[in-house]
Parts: sequence; structure tokens; C-alpha cells
Amino acid sequence: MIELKGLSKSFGQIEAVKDVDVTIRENGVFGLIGTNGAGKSTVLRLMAGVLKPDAGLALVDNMPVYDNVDAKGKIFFIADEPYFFPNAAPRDMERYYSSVYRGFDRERFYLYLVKFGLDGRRRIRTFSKGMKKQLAIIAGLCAGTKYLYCDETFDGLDPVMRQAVKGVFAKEMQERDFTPIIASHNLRELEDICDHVGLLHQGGVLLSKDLEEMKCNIQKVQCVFSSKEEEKRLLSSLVIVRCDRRGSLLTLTLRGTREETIAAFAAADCLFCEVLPLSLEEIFISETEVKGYDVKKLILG
Amino acid sequence: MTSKNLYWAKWMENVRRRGWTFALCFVGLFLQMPAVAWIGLSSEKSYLDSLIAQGADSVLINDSRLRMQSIAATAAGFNDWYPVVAGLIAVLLAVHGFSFLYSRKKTDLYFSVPVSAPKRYVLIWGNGIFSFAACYLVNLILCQTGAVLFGAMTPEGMAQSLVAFLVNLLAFAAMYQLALVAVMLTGNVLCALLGCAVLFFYEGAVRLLLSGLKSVFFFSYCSADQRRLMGLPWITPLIGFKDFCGSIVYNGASINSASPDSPWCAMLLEEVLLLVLASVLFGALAYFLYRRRKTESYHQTLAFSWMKPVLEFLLVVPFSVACGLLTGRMAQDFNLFLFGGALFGVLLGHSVIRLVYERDLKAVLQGRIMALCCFGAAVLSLCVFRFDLAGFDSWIPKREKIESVAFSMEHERGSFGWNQLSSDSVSGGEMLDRMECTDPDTIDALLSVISVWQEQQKREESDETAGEDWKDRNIWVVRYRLTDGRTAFRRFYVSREKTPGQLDILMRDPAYQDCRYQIYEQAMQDCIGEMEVSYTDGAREYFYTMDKEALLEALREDFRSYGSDLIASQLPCGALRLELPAGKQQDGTYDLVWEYPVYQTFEKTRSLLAKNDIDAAVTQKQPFLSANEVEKITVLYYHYNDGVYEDPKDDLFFEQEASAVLVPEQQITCVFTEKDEVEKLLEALYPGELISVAAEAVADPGVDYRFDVRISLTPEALKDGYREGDVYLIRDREPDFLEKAVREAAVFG
Repeated sequence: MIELKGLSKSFGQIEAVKDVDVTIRENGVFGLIGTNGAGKSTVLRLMAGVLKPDAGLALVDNMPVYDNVDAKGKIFFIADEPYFFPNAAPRDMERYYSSVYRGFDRERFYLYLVKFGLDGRRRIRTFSKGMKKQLAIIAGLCAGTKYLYCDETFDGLDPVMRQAVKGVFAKEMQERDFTPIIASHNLRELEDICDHVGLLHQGGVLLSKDLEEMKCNIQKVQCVFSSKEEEKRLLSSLVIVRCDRRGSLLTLTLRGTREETIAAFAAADCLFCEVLPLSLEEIFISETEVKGYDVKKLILG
Repeated sequence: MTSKNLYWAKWMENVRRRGWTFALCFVGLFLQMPAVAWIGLSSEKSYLDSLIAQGADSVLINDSRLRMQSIAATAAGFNDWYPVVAGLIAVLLAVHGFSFLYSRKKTDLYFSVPVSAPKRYVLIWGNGIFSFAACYLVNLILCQTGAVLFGAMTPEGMAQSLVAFLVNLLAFAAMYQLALVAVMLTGNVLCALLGCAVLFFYEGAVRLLLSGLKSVFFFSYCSADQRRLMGLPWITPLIGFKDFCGSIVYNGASINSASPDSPWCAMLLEEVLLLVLASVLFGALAYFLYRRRKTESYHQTLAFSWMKPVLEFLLVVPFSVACGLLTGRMAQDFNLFLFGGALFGVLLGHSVIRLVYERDLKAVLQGRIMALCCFGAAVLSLCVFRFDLAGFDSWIPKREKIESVAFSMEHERGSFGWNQLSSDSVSGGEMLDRMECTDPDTIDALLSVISVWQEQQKREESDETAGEDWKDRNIWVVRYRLTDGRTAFRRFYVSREKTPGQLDILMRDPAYQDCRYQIYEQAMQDCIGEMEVSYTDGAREYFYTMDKEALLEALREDFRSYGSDLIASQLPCGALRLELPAGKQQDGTYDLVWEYPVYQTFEKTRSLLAKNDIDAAVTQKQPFLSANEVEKITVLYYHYNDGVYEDPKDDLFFEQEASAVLVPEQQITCVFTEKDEVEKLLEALYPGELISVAAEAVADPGVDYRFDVRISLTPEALKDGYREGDVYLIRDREPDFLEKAVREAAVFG
């Protein structure tokens, strides 16, 4: 488990991270979401022990991570711009990672290289941005660490590769104790992979919740009421987060369980009613709006 | 914990990535060691072969072999270039090794992997040391191989080079640690290089500036004090070790010290201790800074922002003081340009530093309070020196606090020929090192002389050259050894006219004489038997063939009366010449010659000379030649139109010129052959050979430098051994007809 307790970090006059409290459980995918400059990379670097917190603690399995080799042995950090040695080839990097990570799986590294279509002898500086990210992910997977920090790692990947990586993550999680922590400014990128999400804004955590928990408590319904009176009656009995109207068709985002919602609409006089799946974006909109933030501006620009 | 194998795996990885620095290190040392040795040995070997082929003297052949051994030993040992090359490599390895601290991408990798910070430090640090040591060792082997192939290898040379290897490695370590301090203090490569330059040369620059300020503003600051300042141990390893290497001289494969007073073993030990101290100090500091610096300080100018104003102050103040000093020296209006130059220095230094700090031109206008502080400090520093606020020039220690003194003329005359046996150089500074005078009368006389000069200086507060108008003045230097253990050096003017008695006491002080005149040294006594001793009265040279030790003893006793009173009251009647041929010296290349004046009052010396039938020494001849021995005397006078004489009355045609009679520029030659004229002229002449041992800049011997005189001897005189040397006219003795004859011989326009 990774725990961030009252974590703060400033760069000169700039407060990059303010009093962040987050708990990241094992064996799930944690998504760290925020706009550019929200402090995602700083949080990840604090979690990786690259930076020393000004205040608070970053604990990896109850060990402070800064200047702690044992804690660092449990994590692999893929920075937003991963560094490879000048003129190095993937196999050179493998040699280096093998020397620092005890559990580095060399065979699997070369296997993945073949699977991802990367040449182990080719100079990394000749790789595309996406290929470099793939290489970093491969190294991260083969390091055998419990936690894998990915800072905007999916950014340079094409959709096919993104899906492949997600698949590999899922497989790793099935096979061993593996917890990826993915930071991104793009909600849609994390939608189908994260179990738990944390939203960062201006250095602080706006929310941190299980995606399932959020999904269970919020529903999206499209309906057409038989009359204005019926519409008014039902809507007054529901907790409405959002309401869009197109003619007589209403699209409602509601609080409550799926069962409660279906029951409420079944009892009402509706000409048409359908419960729709909610996107992560919509869940965030609803959750953050409650806190007074316009998440579209925060995440989607 | 990382296992041992993993550690070495990491280490090897580090070595692999730093291959190019390894190569550069090797090339640098190769050019400085084996390349230089091979070229030198090859050239000398060709010369040696040609000597052998020509069947040259064995001395020449041995010299050539020694030179070859020296070349090999110098290249593989201590030489002037090594500190420079090692310093550059130290900077390269330090900056390159820890350059990951300057990049976010790199710190993200290095600080996130499970390698502890101390282990990473030791790994990179050790890699730097190893790279250098390995390259050095390989080049040393190449160097020695060359020496073996050229036949210049000796067991002593091999041992010396191994000792040098360890010491040189220690020097490299000290420089490397200092470079690491610069690396840890800064946030990018450019600033790290600038930091290295500052740390490597700051101490030297400050010492030079301090010495420059003292020498410009304090008359009493002397070269001995400067030598002491520059001779203090250097904590900066580059300058210190270069200084040490410069003082080592190889004779064959043996190490000699350039200074006879400091044996090379003692110097080496001192240098090793300093290098160990510097290594430990800078190493601890570098590691401390490495642990304290924040990861996010990459791309910043300084890793510790609180250091910015401190560093600016430490750099801008000396720079602006130096600017003020330079502009002040260049300009006529001294004070205005002194402080104007300091202001310019502050503006320039502040702007450059702000530009480096912020990388923004607008930043030049920021930090005005700091610039003002720097200017204030610079002005204060300049005022301290310009107006002597510390009272440097007016300081005289209290009499009761003086334990001993040493004093000497600032520019001693080498022709007097002392210290040649025990030293390679002759200087007043050496006197200050060797002399210890505790005689109360001498100390009182010395303080009195200095007080008189200082009184004169006080009277002429605004005049920086008080004492320059004194007659027959001379600059002397003094070293006070105080009861509290301190030592102080000062310079002052002395004039016999102002302090005749005191100067005589100083010159006759036994401690002074023992140090100044080598006749009092045991080395001279040991060699006297091997010397050729002769006496000259300026006209003829007489060889002394009797007991030389007795003559030396007599001269020693007579010379105790050699003081300013004697010098001023009479001219020497002759000179004693002691010559030690090169062949009779140990490793001698040149004949060593001493010349001591013999005065009329040197009874014991003259008596011994008389016993050796050197009549001229006993019976002083005035004139030193008789008219019978002279065929003619030619007197030359140069008349210049632009008045070269300080006193216009010295110009023989002054009156004519004043009455508008044109006397063209010309050389006037008068030849005197009449016996009575020659006799009168001979009475006014003094041999040039004796002038060099007369007066000693303490008194004026009265030579009339307006005239050039040539004496032509008769063939009989020449046959008798008389020589046609230089002669001078003594102004007080000149016959009246001389000037008249010259005037008459002139051609009027």
C-alpha cells in the first residue's frame, strides 16, 4: 500500500503539492488525474523518492520512500520523459536495470521486445517517442517491482499499443502482486483501466475514490415523461446532478443506486425510459460539480 | 542491501558509460608523460650517440646521460605541466560524473532506482579516481618502458616515479574533490565549470590582489613580505601543487630542491600533508553538499540559493578593488579613477553575476542593494590601503617586543660575490631569512634609522616617495622577529647623510657581516686552499702564494671595521680577488669569484700581502700609475644640446650657451701627452676595477661621469704587467686645465 500523508512540496515560491492525503491500495490500477501543472508529476516523483517532501510522508508499504533503498526496490518509475543512456541500445538498458533491480526478468524483457517489435541492438536515440515509452514500460514490467509509476506514459502510444499495454498490465496483475499507478491529464485515457482515481487540482486532491463506488452511486437516465406534472413530481423526488433537455427528451444524471433509480422510474408515468452507462468523464463532472468545480475546465479544457 | 556482485555490476556499467572521459584522460596524460619523455629522450639519445661517435670527453657523455635520466624522471615524476593536466582531468571527471544532478530526466532515473545515495556517490567518485589512476599507471609504464629502451632508466628513477605516482594521485584527488565541491554547489554544467575556475584560482587571485594593493600603496611593503605571502601554504591544490612541482629540480634521476634552505623531503612531506588535508576537507564538504542539495536544483545557477548574495559579494568586491587599482594606476587623477574604477568594477561584476544567476538581461537591474554593499566594501578596502588606515607604513614595533632583527640592502650587489658556495642565488631576501641579530645597540640604531625615515615621511604626508630626495639614499629591508613569535618585514630609506652613526653600526654588526660576506662562512674556509688568491691595485694583478687561510683570517678581522664611515672616508687602495675554479668545485660549472676591497686601514691583510712581496698593498700609490708608465691620456667629453646634466653647471658650455653662443652637439677629445699634465691627471684618476668594490651605494665615491678616460701605457709598462683598464676621474681631484682644455678643443658653430 502506498500512503501519502499531508504531502507538500514547493519549488521556490511555487507550491506544487499541498497537503496531499491519498491511499493507494494494492492490486488495483490507480489513476492520478489533473490538468497540466496540477502536480501529478511532482506527486509521482515524491512517491518515487526522487524528491524530498517539504512536509508529510510518502510511504511505500509503510516505509518512507525518500532515501530508502528497500522502499525504492518496490517501485519502478517511468517518468514523463524517460531517460536512456546516450548511445545505449535496449540491451544496454537491460544490463543497467538488471544491475539495480534484483528481480529484473531478462528473459521476459527480450520476449517483450520481440512482442512489441523493438530491436534490442538498435540505438534508443533512433527510436520514436512511442517506442521509447514502450521500452520504458517493458523495463518497468520486467523490473519485477510491486508498484509501477507511469507519468503520462500512455501519451505517446497509439490506440492499439495502448490496448496492448493495458492488456499486459491486466495480465501482470493476474499473475503477480502488481499495482500500476498512472498519472494522466486525460480522463478518457484512464477510463477503461483504473479501479481507483484521484483528482489533483492546484497541488491538492479534489477527490480520491473507487471507480465502482462512484459508478454505483450515480446513474444516467434518458426519459420522456407523459406530462409536465409527472415530470415535476418525479424530478422533485430524485437527487439530480445534471439535467439536459432536448425537446421532451430528458437526459438526467442522478445520485442513487441503479436499482433505486429503475424502481423510481418504473413507478412513474414515462413514455420512454432507459438507464445508460456513464463515462468516467461524466462521473467526474458530477462528483466535482458537487464540490463547486467545473471539471470540464479542470480536465477537458 | 546490494550484493557485492551487483555493486561491481553497477560500477562496470558506470565505467562503460563514461568511456569517452576515460579515453580523454588517457590521451591527456599520454601527451604529458610518455610523449614528452619519448621526444626528449630520442633527441638526447641522438646527441649522445653523436658524442660517442666523435669520441667526446667522458664528462660530456655523462652529462648527456644525466640529462636523459632527468628527462625520464621529470616526465614520470613531478613536473610543471602535471598539475594543469590533472586539474583539467579532475574537472572533466567531476563534472561529467555528477552531471546527472543537472538534469531532471536523469535524476528521475537515478534517484528512483534502488541504489542508496552514499553508494551512488562512492561509485561515481571511485570511478573518477580509478579512471585517472589506471590511465596514469598505464602511461607511467609506457614512460618507463621508453626510459628502459633509451637506456635512461635507473633504480632510483623507478623509485622516484613510484613515489611521484602516489603523490601525484593524491594531488589529483585533492583537485577532484575541490571540483566536486563546485559541482555540488551549482546547478548546471556551465556554472559548474565557472565554479571550478573560481575555487581553483580564488585564493591565488586574492593573494595577488592583496600583494598588489600593498605594493602600490605601502612603500614599506617589501618583496620579502610578498614572498612570505605567496609562500604561505596553499589550500587550493592546483596552485599549491604547481608551486611544489616548480620547486623540484631533477639532477639525473635524483630530486633536488630549487631552494637550498628547504630540502625536498621536507617540502614533499609538507605538500603531502597539505594535499591530504585538502582532500579530506574538500571531500567531506563535497559529500555534505551532495547530501544536502535538493534534487530539484537542476538547471539552477546555484544549488543553494542562500549562497547567491554571499558569492556575489565574495567575487564582486575583489574584482572591483582590482579594477579600481588598475584604473587608478593608469590615470593621473589617482583618487578619482581609483574609486571610479571600483564603481565600474562593481557595475560590471554585478551585471555579469546577475546575468549568470538569472540568465535574463533585465536581472542586471535587480539587486541594487547588494551592488551598493559591494561598492561600499570595495571603497572601504581601497581606503584602508590608499590612506593606510591600518598604519602599515608608520608601524614600528616597540623596542621591548623585538626579539631579533635582520636587515639588508634591498638590492644587494652580486659582484661582491657572497653566498655563491651555499646558494644558487644572491638576494637581500636571503639575508632576512638567515640573519639573526639580537645586539641591543644594533637594534636601537636600526629603529633610529627607520624612525628618521618615518619622521621625514610624516613631514611629507602627501608625498608617497618620502626620502627619495635624500643624498646617497638607499633602500633597505628589515625583518623583525617579535617576542610573541610573529615576524614582520618592512622596507625603508637610509641615507648616510641623515643617520651616519647608526648606519655604521648596522654595517659593522657582526651578525650582518657574517651573513653578508662569505669570508665569514665555514664553506669559504673549507675551500680557501683550493682558491687562487690575487691582489690588484687597479693597475697590476699580484698573485698571493703564501698561507691563504692566514690571509682569509686577516681579512676577516680587518673587515670588521668595514662600515659606512670607512666607505665614506676613503676609497679602497686595492681589491683582494678569490677565485674557485669550476674544476675544484663539487658539480661546478662556472668559476666562482669573490672580490673584497682592501683599505689603507686593513693593517693585518696588508701586512700579509707585503710578506708575499706585494709592495703595492703596503705602499699605497697615489697616483696608482706613474707618469713614466703612461704614454698618453685621452679624455672624451660629450656635449649635448638638450641638457642631459641634472645640474646645468655640469655642462662645460653652460655659460656660452647662456650667452647665446651656439655650441653644436659633439664629442670632444683631448689627448694629454705632456708629462706634467699626465702627472696631474693621474692624481685625479681612480681605477675602474676598484670602483666596483668602493662606496657600495652608501657614499658617493665622487666619480665624474661626464668624462670618459683612456690611458695608453708605454710598451715597457705593458711588458711589466700593467693593464690598460677603465679609469675614472674623481671630481674633487680634477686639475684646472682639464675643463679649459676641453672647452678649447670644442668646435663652435
